[in-house]
Amino acid sequence: MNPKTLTLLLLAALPLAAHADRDYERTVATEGAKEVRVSNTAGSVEVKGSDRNDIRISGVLEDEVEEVLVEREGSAIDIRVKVDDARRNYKRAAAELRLEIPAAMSLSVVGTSADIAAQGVRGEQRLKSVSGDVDTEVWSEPLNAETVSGDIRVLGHDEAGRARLAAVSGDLNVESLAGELEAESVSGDVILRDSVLSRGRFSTTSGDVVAAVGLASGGSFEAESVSGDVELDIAGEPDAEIDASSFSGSIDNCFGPKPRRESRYAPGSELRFTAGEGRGEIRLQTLSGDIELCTR
Amino acid sequence: MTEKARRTERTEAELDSRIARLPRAVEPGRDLWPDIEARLDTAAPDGDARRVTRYARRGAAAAAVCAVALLPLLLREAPVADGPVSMATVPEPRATGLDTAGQQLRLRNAAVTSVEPGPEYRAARAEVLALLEGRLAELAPEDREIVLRNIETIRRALEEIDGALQDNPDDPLLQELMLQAYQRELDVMARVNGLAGPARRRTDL
Repeated sequence: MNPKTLTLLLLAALPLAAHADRDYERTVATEGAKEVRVSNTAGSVEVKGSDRNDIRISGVLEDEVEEVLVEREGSAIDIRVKVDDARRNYKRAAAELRLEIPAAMSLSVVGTSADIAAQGVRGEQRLKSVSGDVDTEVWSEPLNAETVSGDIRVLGHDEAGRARLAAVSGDLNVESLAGELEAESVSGDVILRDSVLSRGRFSTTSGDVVAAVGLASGGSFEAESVSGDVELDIAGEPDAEIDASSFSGSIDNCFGPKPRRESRYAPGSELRFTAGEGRGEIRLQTLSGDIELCTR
Repeated sequence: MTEKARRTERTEAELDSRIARLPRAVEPGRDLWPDIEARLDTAAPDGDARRVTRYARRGAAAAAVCAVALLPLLLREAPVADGPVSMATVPEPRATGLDTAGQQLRLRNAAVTSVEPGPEYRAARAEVLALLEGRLAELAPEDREIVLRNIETIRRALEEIDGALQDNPDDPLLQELMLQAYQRELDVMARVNGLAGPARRRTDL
């Protein structure tokens, strides 16, 4: 190979060298820490709860990620992906982080465009990302998840807990949750399956609320939307005071009396009745969205 | 008294005198009532519309009273800083993150409904908005667009509720939806402020 060709090849390879990703791996002793806090701007954070006593961090860092800082702060361990401030362009600043943590520890993750996934974490969780998706499973400890455009998916294990989910345009998908759930989105849909709630509160502006749930004895379920539809399928025999009203949308129910017109001047309708002994409370409201109420 | 103060006093006195000379009432050149009556008859041949208008007036008053009474509830959860904040003290945003003057105007217009939110609400909103405009600049353009689009969705919803409320001012469902929509707008702005901050430097959630 002549020197000229060799030089050309080396020059061609330079951009590849400049964008080299690197692997990262580290194990951190927990030493009585109760919480893991992770901050990552872009990429992803995958957390797995395990029976180990330490925290294992691994992943791939893009070249504008300066380092992964791990610091102890009180009873928490902070894991922070530090991006080179001087060269930050957000295109090569992603970190794909994987963590294995003791299952009982609490977890907080915050990201900008980072996807967040947690599996087997039994401690309290606070998961927040602007445009990344959040995907987690919960047992009895509280969950607080927030996004702007990312979707949130939660898988419960039928243990009574407390979850609060909020998105702006993202969809909220919840399955097999028990206990209390509060979910709100502006244009995203709220979809709830196979859950038994003691208290549920759902609100959207234009997104739909679709819920297939059981209501615990004396529990409450409230859903309101401006232009989104509200669809509620109640598992088993309903035992609640039911109050559904829509200003201009329709109400369609497969049990109880038929809805009646609210006013001769307005197109909306309302439906109020007691199902069973009326121990619980179901309240559904829309402006123009349709309401469907049924049992399954 | 300085010369400037004397000039001001003279100007004010002259204005007072001109105002005093203005007629107390202006009589129309012809009787306008027959035309008005004819139009009312066309609009409400059976009198229903007149009844609705009468109810609407009473209802509008009731709605306004309800809204004013309920606004403190709304404000209780609004992220207001300690101490009073007036519109005049809200600083101009640093980097707005808003692409057009139209977006700025649209966002900065606190009231999009005929039921005016109270001054405390306006102050709270202005404060959250000032922060939001800075935060939007830190978001990727596509995320910024999503936030603005969704705030627009809420504002359109408010207008829709308001339209319905004008025809049905005593409807408690509409009043409740309006309050919830105003609250949601504040919630969304506050949430974006919380999420779009310097996350990469933040470890304390």
